[in-house]
Amino acid sequence: QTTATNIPQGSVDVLMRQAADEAGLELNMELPGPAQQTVGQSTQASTEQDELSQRLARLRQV
Amino acid sequence: ISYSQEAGSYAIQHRVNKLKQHHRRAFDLISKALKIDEEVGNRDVRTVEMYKKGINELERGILLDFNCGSNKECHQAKKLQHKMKLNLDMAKKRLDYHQLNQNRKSQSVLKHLSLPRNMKAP
Repeated sequence: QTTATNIPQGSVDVLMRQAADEAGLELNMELPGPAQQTVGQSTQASTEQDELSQRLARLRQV
Repeated sequence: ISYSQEAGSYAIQHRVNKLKQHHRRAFDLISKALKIDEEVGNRDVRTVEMYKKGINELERGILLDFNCGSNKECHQAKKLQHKMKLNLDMAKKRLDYHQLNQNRKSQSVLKHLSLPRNMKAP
């Protein structure tokens, strides 16, 4: 076991907050996580493909 | 997670990124082609080239393998591929339509240049 796994999560959080305060950073800043980002992106891709479908279908009717 | 699992998920992520790249390029090309198509109809030759390139991007995206089980990323990728396939079919039909028009145009130009059948060249 490494030292890192021995330290309880609570004290890690406290330490992080202390360091952040000292550096003047906002810890609760909501950064997009990697998972969220991929979901967002693929739904965007999916909507864009839908848009193409609609436009292509419209031209076919003309 | 184990190293092999991690490597596997990296490989999936890599393919997902590739798929998105092909989607992006296909979307940009085909929307541009559609814009001209919607505005000026078949009078623009650029549309044919853009449809062709866009179709190529769609095809390359669809060829990526996402038979990676119940993974969420794979599931979404497959859904996107399905939509891309539908658009591939429709874009191909639109391309056919334009190419047919181009051929007709060049044929009518040739007809115009050639002499009527019953007339002899001087």
